[in-house]
Amino acid sequence: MTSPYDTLEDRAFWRTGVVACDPHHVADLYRPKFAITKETAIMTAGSCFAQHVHRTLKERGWSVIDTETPSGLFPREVLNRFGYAMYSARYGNIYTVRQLLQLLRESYGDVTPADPVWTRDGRFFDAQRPNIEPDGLERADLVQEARASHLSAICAALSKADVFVFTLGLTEAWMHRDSGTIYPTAPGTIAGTFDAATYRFHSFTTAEILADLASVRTVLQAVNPQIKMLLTVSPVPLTATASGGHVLAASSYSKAVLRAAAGEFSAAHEDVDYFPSFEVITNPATRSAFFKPNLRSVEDAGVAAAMRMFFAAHGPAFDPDGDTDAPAPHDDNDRDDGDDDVICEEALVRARAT
Amino acid sequence: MRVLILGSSHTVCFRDAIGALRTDFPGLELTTFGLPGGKFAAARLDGSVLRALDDAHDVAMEWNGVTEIDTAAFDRILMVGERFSFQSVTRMLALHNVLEEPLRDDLPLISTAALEALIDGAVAGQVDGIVARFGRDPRITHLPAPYPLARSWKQGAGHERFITLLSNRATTPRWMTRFEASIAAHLADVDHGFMPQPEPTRHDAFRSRNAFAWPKSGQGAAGNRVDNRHLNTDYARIAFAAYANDILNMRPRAAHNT
Repeated sequence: MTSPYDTLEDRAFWRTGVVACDPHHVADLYRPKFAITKETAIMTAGSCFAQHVHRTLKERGWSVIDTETPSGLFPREVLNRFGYAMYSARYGNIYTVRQLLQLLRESYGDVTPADPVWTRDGRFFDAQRPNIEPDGLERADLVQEARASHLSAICAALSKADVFVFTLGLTEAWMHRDSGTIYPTAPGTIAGTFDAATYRFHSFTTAEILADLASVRTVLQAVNPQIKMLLTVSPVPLTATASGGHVLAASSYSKAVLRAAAGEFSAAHEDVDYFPSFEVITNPATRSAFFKPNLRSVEDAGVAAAMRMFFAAHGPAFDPDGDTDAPAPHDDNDRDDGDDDVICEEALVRARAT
Repeated sequence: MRVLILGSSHTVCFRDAIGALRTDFPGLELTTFGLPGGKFAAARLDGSVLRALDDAHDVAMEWNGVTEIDTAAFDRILMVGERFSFQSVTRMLALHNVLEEPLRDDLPLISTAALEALIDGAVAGQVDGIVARFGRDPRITHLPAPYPLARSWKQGAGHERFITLLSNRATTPRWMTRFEASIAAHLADVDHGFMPQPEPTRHDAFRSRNAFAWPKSGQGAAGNRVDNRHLNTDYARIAFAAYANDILNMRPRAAHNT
């Protein structure tokens, strides 16, 4: 008697594929659809976990696009405080695919977000990236002018990109009721004022995310028909949910929806791949060891395990403790001693709640 | 009083002026110890003794006659040649328009807050490195490397692109002042002193007067390397006089005519 499972590889079985594997080196978890090399021009965007990807690739001397970060001996902590050196342009965290799509369309002049400027204590903030100027700007027109400059930088980044790496972070978002404009944070969290008549909560469905991913792909291919997409899902649980449910269930639901959308979309397109960093970090074999004590932030060891898998598939062997191939411009002052050294607006929700 | 002039290749003009300096300040016991920038940065500090590494012994002997110096033997130290991220700061200034300023010439925009934070961060990083090496030492006063010569606008060898771009902007003096204030503040935090480049040696913001060029260092000087960054012994005398005046409360025996 034979079974279709008789001929499967070890990777297909939980015992040999997971239980018997060192969670720092899960063998054969990632089989890339397409090659990415050190020379591939990589554009990064997404939720806060994507900052780790951007940073690690940059530190290894890969061709990560960065159109806005000043070159020089500037400490990463200061750069990051102002939204620099986090992603390929200074857009801050992009948690939802809809926000990414909106940003790409805005960059090419196809949409104009509603309520673009928020205020706090007499200062003015870019509602689409309220964290990149921690103290805001002194006038609303400066926010608009800075945004125009930023949008040009996004176009410049897109025009260079061979691969677009995007980390899907959240399904939950805050939406402008009349226009459908999506914001990265709830009004009133960092700046702005929440008005239920103006803004509403929205949780994106798998179908909506799939449609948005398809639109994103269309926009990207209009710029570069050969561009590839590499999707990841953030392993970072929700810091809070506005869904009315328990945050644990809401977090599971959100991650399941994002993972399903990423999987379905990558399966449907040869030029779209899924990179399983989510699985590396959340692997039950780790007993949550890749999460910091707050059970949200990812430990360096987890990032290293995920990136080791990336480099094993795409490049030379990765030694997280070894010398980097080419230092980033600001590496001389690079220290990584914070509890949560990536910039995450989500955390501000919790900070306000305590 | 024993004074050590310590640092990178910018010590050489002080070494060459040492006779004049001793004449100017007969009450001081002056010593210089310098190494080329990279070799000075690599020199090993064993307790209070700064030792050139093996690969720097030849240049150390040529410049100083010794390969090591005991800093404990001095009452005051004038440390020269540190750049405090000057290149990073001026490049950032030159390649951006400041959001809150009126100038727009098709460069990326950067906010004043970000600029100031990045300048402070860049300076702080350098000061951290200095204090990690030499400790908190109130004997030390820093005279940064002099700004490049005004003639460095000329294309070709010795051209300073960022300084040239900045020379056309009305706001550049204000940013230079901000940069120097950051250096002074961060050094004060670690009990080091700061002495800015003396005004008579400056051409304008971030540029030195051509009159202080190192001899035969200009473009067209046959057989000589173009050098728009190292200044001459006249500069050394003025700079040391300013140091003596501001830090040691001493005046030169005769007024300078430079």
